[in-house]
Amino acid sequence: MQARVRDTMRAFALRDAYNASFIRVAAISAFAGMAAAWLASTMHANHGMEAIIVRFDRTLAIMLALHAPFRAIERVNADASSDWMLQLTAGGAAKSLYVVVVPLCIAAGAFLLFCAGAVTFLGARTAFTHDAGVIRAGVRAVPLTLLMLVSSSAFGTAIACVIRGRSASRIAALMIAAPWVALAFNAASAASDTGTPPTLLVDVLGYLPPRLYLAFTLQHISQVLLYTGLMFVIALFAAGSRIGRRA
Amino acid sequence: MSTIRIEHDTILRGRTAVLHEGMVEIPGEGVTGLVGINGAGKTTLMMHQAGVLAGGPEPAEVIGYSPQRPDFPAWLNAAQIARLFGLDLHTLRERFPGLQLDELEAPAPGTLSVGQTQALSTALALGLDARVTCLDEPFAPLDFRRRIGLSEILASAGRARSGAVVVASQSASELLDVCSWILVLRAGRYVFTGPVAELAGIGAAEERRGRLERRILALLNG
Repeated sequence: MQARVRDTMRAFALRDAYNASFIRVAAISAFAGMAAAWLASTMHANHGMEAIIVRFDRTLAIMLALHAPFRAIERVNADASSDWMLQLTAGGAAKSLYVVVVPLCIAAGAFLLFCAGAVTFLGARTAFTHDAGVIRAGVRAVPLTLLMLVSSSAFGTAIACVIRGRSASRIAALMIAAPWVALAFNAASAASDTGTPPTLLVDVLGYLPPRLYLAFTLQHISQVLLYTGLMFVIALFAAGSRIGRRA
Repeated sequence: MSTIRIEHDTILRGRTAVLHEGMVEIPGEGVTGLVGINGAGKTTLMMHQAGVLAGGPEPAEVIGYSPQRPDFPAWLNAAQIARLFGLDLHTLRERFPGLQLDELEAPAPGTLSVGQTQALSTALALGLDARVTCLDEPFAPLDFRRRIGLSEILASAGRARSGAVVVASQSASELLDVCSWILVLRAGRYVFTGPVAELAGIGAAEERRGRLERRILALLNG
């Protein structure tokens, strides 16, 4: 059984490595990291978009975490009723193993992309600022980034196991966006109360002081973990009717 | 002789009944040929037996199943695909030499031809040594060598295997060469189940093939 688990993990982990576009995206991520480091050397983290660039590693982690559920949904939708999945499940493969392996592999792929961008950014930033504290701060954020990526991928997998087809992406998008839309409305409403003109969501996020990036990360993780916790158990049961079955 | 009971409610696709409620028994050993015109419900029956139809029962045991148009992950090579099924390509190659699996060791992931993919899929289904193996049109895309090889494998499986193999086929020659039992489907209903000899009769091979074709046609046309 352990060999089967290992082979399954390896089989799915290979999916990203095989994909040539993965290398391209990793290269783009590294290039963006370099560009962000160069731009950040001329900026301060106090205003709007600047904060997003100056803390590019966190921005990248959040972007990947937002993308991970949709990647998971796309993969589960493609795999669930494919011929090889039907053949595998008829042959006694554990569907629950697939449901666990897929988010782990998606999170691992996203983490590799994060590393490509963040390592380049932090390296270049350190070279520009001669401040080793930048790297220390980046390294400290790694466990949270990993947790965020795994929980996001698990959330996407759970949604895809419970809801069929394209509706899964729409519902996932709604569930992820809902608290942030509320936050943006609150911020806009608070801004109008104080007489300051309302700002765009990006600016709202950009104006957040550095500590609030951590809050964003924690909020995202807890939100997604809450959804995942609610749905993953259902997903493991629902996988029986969704994975390896064809209507 | 042990038997396998195939039992199901009416199976719908949209509003159309693809397979009507029914029950039929086939031998628990040997090769059973499944015959029917296009759209008769053969693939649906195979999927039902494999337990992969949405809303259908889950299989209580491992089923060897090879779909009509097998398709494997494009990022895996043949050896990796075999490992995903808990099998070893080298062992499969030695067990089923007629399927020419040695040719599959070199190709890069995603480059197997339709026939090669079918050969691998059939080997994986047979390699599981399940009590029931369902092969959906396994001969269709195979080249000349592999057709002969698979015929020999199934003919010997009929003699040596402990489980049952169900093979959907459109060829009287294949049915005559490999099957001991035959199940005929017409518009989602079982219209005949019995030994091949009952339809083919006795005599020279050509004579039996002709007789089998005529009787199957008569059953299919009602």
